[in-house]
Amino acid sequence: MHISDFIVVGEVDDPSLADGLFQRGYRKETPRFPHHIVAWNLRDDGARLPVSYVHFTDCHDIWLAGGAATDGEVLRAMKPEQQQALRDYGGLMLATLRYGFEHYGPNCEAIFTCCGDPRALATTPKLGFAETGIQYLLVNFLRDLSDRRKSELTAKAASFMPF
Amino acid sequence: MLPDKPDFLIISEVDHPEAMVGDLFQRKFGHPLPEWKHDVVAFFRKDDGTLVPMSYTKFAVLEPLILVGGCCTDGRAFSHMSEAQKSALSAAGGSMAQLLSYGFKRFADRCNAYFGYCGDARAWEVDLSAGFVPTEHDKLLVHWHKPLNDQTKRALVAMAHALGPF
Repeated sequence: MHISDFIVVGEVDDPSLADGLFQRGYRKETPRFPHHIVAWNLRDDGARLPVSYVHFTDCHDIWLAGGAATDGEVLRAMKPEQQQALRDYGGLMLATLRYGFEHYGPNCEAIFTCCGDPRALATTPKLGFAETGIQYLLVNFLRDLSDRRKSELTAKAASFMPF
Repeated sequence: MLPDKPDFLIISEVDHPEAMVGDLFQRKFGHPLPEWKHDVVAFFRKDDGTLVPMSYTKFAVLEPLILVGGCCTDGRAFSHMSEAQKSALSAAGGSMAQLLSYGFKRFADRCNAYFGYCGDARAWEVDLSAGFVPTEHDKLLVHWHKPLNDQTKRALVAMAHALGPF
């Protein structure tokens, strides 16, 4: 089994679709500005359930990935073979972040994320994120940039922290 | 002017419509979803948080027009609703009228007019309730959301009519 048998990832314009799972993690509603990436659990009865979320912010030359949240209850309620497929894949956060990289990466010079969660940190290297030297701030430079440009972009991203 | 939509009706543009309404569209139209963007889905949110795709419409940008097509509603979605929810949805004009109204607002800066093509009597009434008005051409509807002079309106209607059924 592959996760595409029961998971689909896509952008939506209504952030309230993910409010439930986001509130469980952050105690507030999802950001009210674009871009919202949702991983949906495709149920056998035709219903769909948002199970993982990440927000991407367009800052022109850089994009910020933040607000990652996954509904653990939904994961635990999945069939054992589905849970195994998710483990084999590397987790839902990997799927939502990959989606963002594929769709927004070509539009920018770097994608930054702010991460202090050990479990999430296990996922970030799979996406090419590396440390910036600033606590919690990770980056994937998507183009061949000079050190000076990297410093400029990192400073810009740091100015938005926490995100 | 439609009443506000009930909280259990969630409307969003999605960039992965096949997983949401692919089967419904195939069942209604006998062919797969066209690949043009933009796809808008109205979901019914059940008490347990799961979302049931209920209505679908594509807003295809063909500058300076947007063609509104592929409208369909899954009657099976109503089986998930209580009688009170059915009444509330009906009082709000229904999921399709709410979806159309949502799209008219969302894409307002991307076109000079919206056109629909409708041959079903019941859908025609829903289209009118959402803000479409008939044109002089059979089955062709338009929704004006900008102040345009009559000559421009005639030109846009002629363009849409020239496209034929969509």
